[in-house]
Amino acid sequence: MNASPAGSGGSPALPAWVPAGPPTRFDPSATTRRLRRDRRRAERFERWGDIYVGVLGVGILLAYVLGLVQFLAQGLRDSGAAGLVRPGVAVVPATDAGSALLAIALLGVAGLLTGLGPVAVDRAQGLWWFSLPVDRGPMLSRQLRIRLVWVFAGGVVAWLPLGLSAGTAGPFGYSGPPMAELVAGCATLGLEFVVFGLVAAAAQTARIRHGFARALMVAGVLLALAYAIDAVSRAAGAARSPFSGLWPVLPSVWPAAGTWLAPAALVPVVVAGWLLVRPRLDRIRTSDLLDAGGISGQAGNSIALLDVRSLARSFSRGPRRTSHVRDAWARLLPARFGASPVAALLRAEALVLLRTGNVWARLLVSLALLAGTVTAHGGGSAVVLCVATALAGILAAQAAGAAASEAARVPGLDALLPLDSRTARRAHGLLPVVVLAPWGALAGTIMGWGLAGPGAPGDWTLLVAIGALCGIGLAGGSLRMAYRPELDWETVLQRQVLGKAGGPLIGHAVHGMELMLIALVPLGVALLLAPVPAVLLAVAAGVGVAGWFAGTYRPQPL
Amino acid sequence: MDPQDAPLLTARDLVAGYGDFEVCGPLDLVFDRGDALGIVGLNAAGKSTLLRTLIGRQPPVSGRAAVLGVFTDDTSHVHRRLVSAVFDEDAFFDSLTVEEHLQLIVSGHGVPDGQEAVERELEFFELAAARDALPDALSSGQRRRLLLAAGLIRPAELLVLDEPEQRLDPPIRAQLAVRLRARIENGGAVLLVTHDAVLLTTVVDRCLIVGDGLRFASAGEGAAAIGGA
Repeated sequence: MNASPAGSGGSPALPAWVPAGPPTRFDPSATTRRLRRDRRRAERFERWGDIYVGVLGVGILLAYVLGLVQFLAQGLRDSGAAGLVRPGVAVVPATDAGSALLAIALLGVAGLLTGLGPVAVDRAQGLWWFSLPVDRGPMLSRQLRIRLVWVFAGGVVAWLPLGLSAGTAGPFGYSGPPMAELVAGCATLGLEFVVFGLVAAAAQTARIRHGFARALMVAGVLLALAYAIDAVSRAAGAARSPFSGLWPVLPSVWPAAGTWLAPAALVPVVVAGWLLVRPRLDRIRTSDLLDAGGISGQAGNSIALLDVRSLARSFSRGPRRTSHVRDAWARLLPARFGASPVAALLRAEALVLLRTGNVWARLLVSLALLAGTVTAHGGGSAVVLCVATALAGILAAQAAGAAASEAARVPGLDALLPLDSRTARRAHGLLPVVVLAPWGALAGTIMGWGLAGPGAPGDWTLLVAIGALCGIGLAGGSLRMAYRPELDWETVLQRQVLGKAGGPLIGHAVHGMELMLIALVPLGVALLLAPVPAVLLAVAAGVGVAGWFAGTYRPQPL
Repeated sequence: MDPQDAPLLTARDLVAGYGDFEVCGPLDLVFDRGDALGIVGLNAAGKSTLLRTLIGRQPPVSGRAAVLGVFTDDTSHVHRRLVSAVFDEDAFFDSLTVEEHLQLIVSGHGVPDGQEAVERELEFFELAAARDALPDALSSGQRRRLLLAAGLIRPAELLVLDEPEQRLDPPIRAQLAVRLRARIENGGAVLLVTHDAVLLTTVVDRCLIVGDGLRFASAGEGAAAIGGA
């Protein structure tokens, strides 16, 4: 029983009229399950069908990821040390790069788990179960147990493509008997995920979930920047930087170690974590359980609807530091900023973008990814460079489209302004250009430094200009993604009968992304050609402008 | 404060809000069994926020509120036994019927003669005909009545209602007002946020007007403040 304001300590002496006693032994979750089971018996076959489809989906996704990772690994093996990058730049060992990448990924996983709770209840459970004077501990620990099993499975599945690709040639420092090490690696990453899940649960019991999630995001961004600074300074000639000693000691190298030592060491950590967290679960406030449940629900729906943007939005929920914003941005962009409807729209979008917390983090991380790739041993492979450029471009374009995405969710807002729909759509396309053209120029600067260097200032300048022009096309892609039409489930279901449901589903999932990739083609071609022909600048301008108009095109309603 | 001597609900310098943004306060309040207080004010004045903060549903910006002087939120089962709260939260298990939802509550609270209590509430809230209906089949008003039934079916020392009149027909509003008054006269405590002047004046004698600051007043003044007198 929680007796102190913080919810811990012994039982206080209560007045005689208080019906205190121990919590009732009634188990609402078991009762609800029993009643639902009786009513849902007919749906059991459907559930087996769902499980079958889920397993099949994960298998197909895994096959795609495995193919991509093996493709990248082959590119790394074929490129040698430098590849397209000029000598002396790709100096950071691949093991350091792998460690940094995995550490950032693990922080991301911890952030996701913190966002999801990991202990969460939906609104009905919060209202009907958690208002009862029952012992919440068993209900919450059962739920946490189930989630941790899923988290472990997620870690195992996540390591499979990396382990399978790394087992022969060792781009991640992996060598020896592949199967045993693969299993050890899977177990290690699975247990690491579980540890992060327990840490997130501990943060929840300490009532610091939101602050912890913010700290994780900041740590991830700082780690990415530290890696980029370390890599660039080493590539620029410094033997070491203050961050050089960080990478070998990060826990993320453990899966790559390929021995049973790491999972054996993690098991007691997991057990201790569970023993520590389990008795404190009933300290979690109902409001926090409901908040996490809301995020879990939205995230689940987003996955079911293949809506990546909605998925990202679900994790950016949660209370702002204050629900009323009076920040410097509003003063920088005064209300009378321009007197036209387009200017009003631009101001509103700029404020939304400036107040969307992780936009700048994502832009910085995307640039750090490019810098990290160029300077990593083997990162100069044409395949790796092109994939990194594509990933960085998509990440940046998604971030820059945050304001347009909000506008797309509430189409009625455009109708408040005296703008026709086509002009409004084009106005929404201006802000992404303001963000992504400089981003593209910076990306071009990094590429130019890595590939051409001071010895070829012409090529460097061309890459900067091509990067900026690609940014214009990326802006079109971000707008196309923001205004993605709703998925027509009727068509999907009709085609499902013919076994052809994948087309519309994949088309919906990549809507906008295809334009982003096309917009990046000139930069990719520029990386492959040395010296860069000047005519490519004209091609980049054409692709960029065409991409922007394609993204801002609004089909007339029938 | 020793719970043995503490009033049912106390607030000291309580400021309600979100994060560091103050919505209303500060409030000093001592509320005991048999007390009733209406909270009135215009939209966005912070009535529901104050109510949630008073019973520990959300943390205060500053100050403190506690049940029996020690329970500051509903993580304690004692708090959940003592306080029954009905806010405008509409959430149900989609496979449980109206009757089964109420049975869940009486079982969880160990209500003696639970089925009889369920029958009484189904009758009172005119839900008997819909007892086997799943939530999807209920109208908005029926869903609201089911939530109120769940709040009233169980024993509680403090009943907290946030705009209970919403989506209710006038006859049920009137019956509810009489029932709440009887509950107070029998030693129950009621905290009530409302925009309904009749409900306010029938149920409570004093109220807290939330507006430009907080002000205690008579129920009549409160009714005038919400334009009902």
